[in-house]
Amino acid sequence: MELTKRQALFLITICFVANKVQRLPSLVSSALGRHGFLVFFAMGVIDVLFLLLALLFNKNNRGKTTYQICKTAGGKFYAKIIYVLLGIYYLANALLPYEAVHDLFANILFDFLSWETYSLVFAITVFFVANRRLKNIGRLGEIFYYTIALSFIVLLVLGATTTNYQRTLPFADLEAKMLIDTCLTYSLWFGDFLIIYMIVGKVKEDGKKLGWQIILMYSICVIVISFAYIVFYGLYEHLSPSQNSLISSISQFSLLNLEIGRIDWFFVLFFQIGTVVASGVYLHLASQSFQEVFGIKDKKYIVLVLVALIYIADIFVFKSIQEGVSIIAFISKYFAISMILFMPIILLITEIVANKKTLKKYNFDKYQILYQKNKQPQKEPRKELKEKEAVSE
Amino acid sequence: MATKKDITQKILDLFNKNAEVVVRKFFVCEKHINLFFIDCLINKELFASGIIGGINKLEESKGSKEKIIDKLEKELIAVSTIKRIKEEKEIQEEIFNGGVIIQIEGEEWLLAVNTAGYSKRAITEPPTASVVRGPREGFIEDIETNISLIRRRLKTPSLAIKRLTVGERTNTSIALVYLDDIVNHKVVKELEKNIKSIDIDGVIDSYYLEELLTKSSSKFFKKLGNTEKPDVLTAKILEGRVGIIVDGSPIVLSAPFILFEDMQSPGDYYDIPQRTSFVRFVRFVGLILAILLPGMYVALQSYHYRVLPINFLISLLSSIEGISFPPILEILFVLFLFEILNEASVRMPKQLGMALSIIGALVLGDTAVQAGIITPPSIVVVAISGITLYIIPNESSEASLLRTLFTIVGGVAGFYGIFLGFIILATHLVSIQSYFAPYMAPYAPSVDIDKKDGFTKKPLSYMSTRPQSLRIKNIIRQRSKTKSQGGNADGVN
Amino acid sequence: MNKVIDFLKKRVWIIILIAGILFIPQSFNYQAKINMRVLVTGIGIDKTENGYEVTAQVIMPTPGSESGGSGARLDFISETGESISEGVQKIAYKIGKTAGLSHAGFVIVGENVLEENLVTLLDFFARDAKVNPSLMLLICEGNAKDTLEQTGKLELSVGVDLQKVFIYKQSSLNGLVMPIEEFINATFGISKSSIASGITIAPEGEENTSSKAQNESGGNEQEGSSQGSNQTQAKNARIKFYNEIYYFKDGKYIGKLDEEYQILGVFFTDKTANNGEFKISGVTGGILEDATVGVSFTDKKASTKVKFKNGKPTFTFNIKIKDIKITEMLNNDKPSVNLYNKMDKETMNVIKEKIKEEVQNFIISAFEQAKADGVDIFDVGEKMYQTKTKEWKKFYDEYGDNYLKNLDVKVNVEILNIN
Repeated sequence: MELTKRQALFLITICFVANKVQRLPSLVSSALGRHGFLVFFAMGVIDVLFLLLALLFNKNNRGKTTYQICKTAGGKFYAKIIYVLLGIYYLANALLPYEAVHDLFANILFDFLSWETYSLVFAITVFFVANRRLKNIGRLGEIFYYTIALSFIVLLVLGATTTNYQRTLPFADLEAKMLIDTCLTYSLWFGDFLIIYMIVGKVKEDGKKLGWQIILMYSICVIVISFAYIVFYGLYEHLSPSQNSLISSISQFSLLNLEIGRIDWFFVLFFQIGTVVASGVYLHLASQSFQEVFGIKDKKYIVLVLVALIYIADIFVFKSIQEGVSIIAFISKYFAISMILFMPIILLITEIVANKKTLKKYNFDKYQILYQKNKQPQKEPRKELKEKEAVSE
Repeated sequence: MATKKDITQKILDLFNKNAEVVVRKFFVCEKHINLFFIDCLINKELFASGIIGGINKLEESKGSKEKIIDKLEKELIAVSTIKRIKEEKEIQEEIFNGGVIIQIEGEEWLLAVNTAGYSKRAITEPPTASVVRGPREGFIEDIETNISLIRRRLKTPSLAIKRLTVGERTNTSIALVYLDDIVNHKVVKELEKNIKSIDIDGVIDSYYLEELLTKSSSKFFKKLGNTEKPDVLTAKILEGRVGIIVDGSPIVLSAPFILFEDMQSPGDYYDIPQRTSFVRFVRFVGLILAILLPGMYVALQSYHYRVLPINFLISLLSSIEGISFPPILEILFVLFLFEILNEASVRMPKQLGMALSIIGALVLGDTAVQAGIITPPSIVVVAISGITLYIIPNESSEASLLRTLFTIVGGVAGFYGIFLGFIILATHLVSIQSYFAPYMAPYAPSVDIDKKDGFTKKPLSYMSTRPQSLRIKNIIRQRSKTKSQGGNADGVN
Repeated sequence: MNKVIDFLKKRVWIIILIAGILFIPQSFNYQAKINMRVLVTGIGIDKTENGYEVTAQVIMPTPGSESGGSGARLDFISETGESISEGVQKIAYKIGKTAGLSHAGFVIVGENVLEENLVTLLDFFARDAKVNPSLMLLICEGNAKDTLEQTGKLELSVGVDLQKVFIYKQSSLNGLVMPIEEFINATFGISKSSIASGITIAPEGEENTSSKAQNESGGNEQEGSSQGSNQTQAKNARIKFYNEIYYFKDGKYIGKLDEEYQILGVFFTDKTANNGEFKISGVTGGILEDATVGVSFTDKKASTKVKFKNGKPTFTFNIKIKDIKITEMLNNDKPSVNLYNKMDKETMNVIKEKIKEEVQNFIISAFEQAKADGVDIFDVGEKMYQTKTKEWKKFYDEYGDNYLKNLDVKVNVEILNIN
């Protein structure tokens, strides 16, 4: 087994939080202003609901991976299509934390930085992380989890103590259409529960499946992220859209800065470790997906290609925020939301079909063995049952 | 049957003409008896009383039906270890280990008597592992003495000692020491296999073995623990590890090794747990400071001055005003000076120690600052880093190199470089395994039960299990007491 | 691919060489080079014929290892430019070092700049990610350059850390801190109104013009330790208390509150100000006869409440003052023996009522003056929208931007524990 339950839980939590406290809040604030937290809350609730489906899928997997289940249900081709879709989704999600780190270092921490050159180092780091076994990435998440969580809490507290909560009032004074539209536009940042589909069959569950812990953690994260948005908007209000990242902005007004300097930057850096881990996780999962699709043994070639794609996308495609956001909005509205809403249902149905097929095959095989042992002519199970029924009647 | 002369010559031919192998000849009970030994390796008193005395008594038993070899082996030779050999390699091994070979005319077998008596160092407290409270014995270069130090502490029949030899010319004795009913036998097998596969002419110190037993491509981080103290090794063996004692080296290795072992010190187990927890935290912070402080200082000065508060920044600006070197060169220069001082102080005669201290303090500390070559903050930074480097002496080599690396990275890429470097380092560490044990246990993977002896140390009564990260057989270390076994000092319940 | 990896593994020096060639030269270009950077701790902006005159208060450290920054001095460098950004650039060219704005704590805007829209002016600071968003906005009478240069006559810790000084003043009801971010946000809010504090730095003794002023703003009372200085300028300047409050609508200057009681009214409604002192005069009743009573308090809470009745709003300020201490009592401005006796209930009640009356007067007079100019200095509109959204929308639909004139403002003052 690759991961322990705890490692799986930590990885999913890190991926969930790391993605959502970077540029997303400022983008949402430009659309919905003080009501932006509803996007986080609504999408978070949708995520939790579909997480339940993913956990149900995991519960009935019978030790098989998603690929094996899809292959059993619909054949190799079907399994590969599912994995291509999942792979593209993970790749898109790997780009978001990559962009976040780019933002932080190139635009905030440094006065001048040639990102084209320095991004290579980051690409190498992400390659290094993604190329590890899932077990080792799990350990990395485990070792840094408390640091990341503590840093986030410290920054949130620093912001929460200086924010003006009244700026976020009134609650929910907006049209439902605006909320739905914004949710659709930024849905790519959500759907982290889809990670579960790649770790199915690889988690050491010791009899008890992944369950209430992950639901609880996810729900807490949804509430915390929504609160973080409230703190962020309370601090910046109309200037929120011009901020690069929530996590680097919410502690700027703390009076501590006047006394002991920008010590909050260290907490931001500790938190950003989570962002790198998230990028590594998604990249690893994407490479696993494509590895299954193309049947390549050595994963490192795929990881290399994917890292190169992300690097090129970061440098050349997402040159400006506007361009980047419009591309992401397109992906979100048509691809990401479909993945979040339909993929769990499709996979659940696939699993039911796969399990039925497996059971049928198992029963047929069982009868085959029985008859061979007794050296009796082989009879189809149905005929035997009919005979039995006839006898009983 | 080969003649006496042939056998004698054969034995002498096993050694170089100038090997100083002495042949002592006797004619007793109408048989020629030859003794082969190297004079400087034997215990002369034991030789005289145990072997010569025994041979002399043979005349008294003249006429007995018992063979001379049997008589000598079972009755007359008053030495603890005696055995029969006939292989050439065994003959060489025995003589080189201070033994005496007794060749009796007409006998195919030779008697090998252990009379090792070469001088060895006294048992003293190791310099790098001194404790305020606790045992002060340390290992020495003699393998037998070292084994005896362990035997005295582990008086259990399950203590197993597996002897091996390595090194074509040195024939260095190796002993694998472990508790048979606790250890993970896969580790023992793997170690044995690896040691037997070593094909080298000589092993001088346990470090040779440490390097040769590290199979992975990255040898930067050690995969075997080491200690100079028998109480530490005993504790490790009790936890299910295998001790590897190398003849000629006072440093004993252990496997498997997890990084956190170096964070623990022998004194931790002889002090109150609260103090130990505090000190371990200090060690951890010290290690981080040692590795990252110079790099962060360079990064702050070069790229991220905005992090510093205004008052400190003014002070810093005042101190660096007029210094023309960029901060990275300044820090590297001071680090380089520090390493030179380090090396010189290890090798220089004690009489000159005072002079060096004065040179170091005055010249480097004061004069260089006044000359505008370096700034006071850089000296403070390197001094803190230098002192905290030795807070964990076993990791000082790796920490020193990492420090230099992070300094360069901090100077070239600021916090960005340090941040990514740290992540790469952590990723590498969590991927390492040392003889089936994860290197970063018990934190990655998280083994809650092992954390009782982690950063925080629980009292001994809580440590009922052995470390589960080592994947050993018998994990119960102690059973918890029932209430009826309790009672206060007055005997009143 | 494996062959390439094996080749590179054996020749790691190639990788190190390539990395070195790529990064080391670039790193020397991208360094912030702290010794090639001048720290700007304050900025002054004045309007000129062709644009703006930007004055930077810079720290010039002197060589040597002085501790606590005492080896530094303040310098003032001015340049003109068509925009503020151009002005800042020119300052950098003038001194040959890059101007680092990250430690800038305040911006002083001269009165002549008030003809312009302040929000468009301050946009430069709001957009720069490296500038602290809590950068404080201050308005001065006359020339910002002169006022800024006066900071050189303050103690170094005061002159550089004006932001800390004002934060201290704000908490003790003597000043107002208006970060640029808050100023801009208020402009884009419902009320479109914003306020900013004035600053006056005067020679010692001339800083307190009002008889109600209590403490002298000495350098040793301010934040930061008092330090010996190498500066040749004499440290004989002080910051004036109870600076004017300028109010704006849509970023344009409308008027100012310059009466101390009005300024106190604004401070009383501020939530961060929770301790202070003031004097009330003309107190008659009990043992007092036309007495002047000085009071201090250590705990004040301010909150607001909105009620709509028949579509008309009533906005109420609730001020709760705890632990009031009498600091002085002078009957007809003269000390009197019987004032040292234990006060009776009647006298206490008289003082209480007078305090309530005064505080109400402070707040309402400030509000009324701004209301007359059509400026909602207390952001009443925003608060009504936040708490009573539906009713507010109806009200606003009816009256539009003239809502101020159609609402009632009340002040409830509650006093607990007067000693």
